Amino acid sequence: MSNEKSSVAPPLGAFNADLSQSSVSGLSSGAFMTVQLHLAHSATFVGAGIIAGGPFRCAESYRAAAAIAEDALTLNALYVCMNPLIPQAAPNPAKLAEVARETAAQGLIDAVENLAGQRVYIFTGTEDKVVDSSVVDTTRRFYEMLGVAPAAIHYENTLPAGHSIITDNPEDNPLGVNRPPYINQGGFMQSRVILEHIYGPLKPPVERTTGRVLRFDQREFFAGNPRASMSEFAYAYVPKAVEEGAPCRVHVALHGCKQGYNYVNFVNGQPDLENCPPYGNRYFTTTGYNEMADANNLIILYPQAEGTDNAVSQNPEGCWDWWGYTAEDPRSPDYYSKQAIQIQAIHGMLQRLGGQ
Amino acid sequence: MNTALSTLAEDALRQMQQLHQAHVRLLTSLAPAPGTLPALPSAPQFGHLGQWQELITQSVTRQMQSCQAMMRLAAQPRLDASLFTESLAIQAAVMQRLATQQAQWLEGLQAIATEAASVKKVNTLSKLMDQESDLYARFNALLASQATATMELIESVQISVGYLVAQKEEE
Repeated sequence: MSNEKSSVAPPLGAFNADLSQSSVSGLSSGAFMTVQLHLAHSATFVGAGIIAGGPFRCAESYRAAAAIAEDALTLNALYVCMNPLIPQAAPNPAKLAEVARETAAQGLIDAVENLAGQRVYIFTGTEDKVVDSSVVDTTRRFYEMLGVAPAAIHYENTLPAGHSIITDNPEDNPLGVNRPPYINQGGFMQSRVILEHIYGPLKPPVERTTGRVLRFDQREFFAGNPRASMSEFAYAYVPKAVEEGAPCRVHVALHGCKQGYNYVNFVNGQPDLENCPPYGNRYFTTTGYNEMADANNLIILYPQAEGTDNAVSQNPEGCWDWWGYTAEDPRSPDYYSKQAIQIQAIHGMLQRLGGQ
Repeated sequence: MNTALSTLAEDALRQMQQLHQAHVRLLTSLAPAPGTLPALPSAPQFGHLGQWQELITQSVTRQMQSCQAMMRLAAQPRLDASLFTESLAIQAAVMQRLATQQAQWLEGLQAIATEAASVKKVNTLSKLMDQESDLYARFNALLASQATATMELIESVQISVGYLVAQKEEE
């Protein structure tokens, strides 16, 4: 990937954003990254929304899984943090909360005490076959152990939803399925529920948006480093009033695996370019965030991850890094700290929006 | 309870030996017999064989470590009863997953058989070839998914048992 400026996407602009009121949410790997970003920069955020995601650094739960560190991280990700055989083999929230405190004490992430006054939405569908509900339950306990008041956590675990973000679009998948595009029809916009839990009562979503989805050159935020597994472009929804200078808040919305704009499904080990169009703009146009943003002067930032599968990174499904695939040294993986390549990139975008 | 744990550990050890023998047979089948294959670049083939060996060795090592840890736990004078309960729960979970896999296998076969038996309108040879090839491809995909699911189950059991035992030893 080159450092040359994009010919079709300008740099991300600055707006009148109060960054101290920022929030973040995500689905699946986006949810795992939401937890990481939330903890890394908890001084910046006021809350988070986690749909089908596990606790901080859960991929390091069982180092002895394999002799080779990189293999151990992947095995943990699959069999402890996504699909443990039994609930007792899910991540240990007490242990990971302790790890989070130690990580903060080392200065690698913000002080965990920042979380105490924040609000967290956590969701797991009972039909989710990709990230088991027993794992997401540990995420709730993880946050409680770090001081988030139980009353400030909205934990939903009774809906028969598959692995997905839920919308009220009739075209979307049936509620209980576990397949791409991982956007399922459940009769409500989950994005709205997330934003209202984090920020309190908000104006209802607009029927017709007034603003624009801005495409910007994302590469400057990770110096075009292929290890980042991030795309050339990323997107931000900016309401018209905000573009004209109105004060605003920023919400970071992180897609899940296979949901980046240029993701193409693999068949027999090859991208199925002949039959499968890229995922495109579904996540950043149809999940309801923009309609809420327009009504409430929010900027929705949509960073984009990209699939890579080579000697540098094993990330064929275009997931955010929550198991260390971007790490230069898997024996000491940094995918969770403020210095982690993806977290630094996303935080850089946030700062740019606030004019910093 | 100690006897039950010892039995579980011995069963696991026996399974490990069977797994090791199965892996040796798999490795042997992957190595080309002299004179039976056309000349192919040897580097990619040996590269993959090396990866198989490495991952299988890791798998067998994991199994052995779990057995050893379970033996150590079984030898302790005061034993946490939850490990026994968890072992039973793991066995039940494995049976459940095998049942699900079996159901998917039968469903997949049934769907292919139904498709193969149905009469479809075909106007050209190329379309007929396409349809026949699709059936073979679907069967191969079903086989591959079953094999992958079995490998995943093996790894899942190893990681779950190892992780649980490691947590008990830390307590």
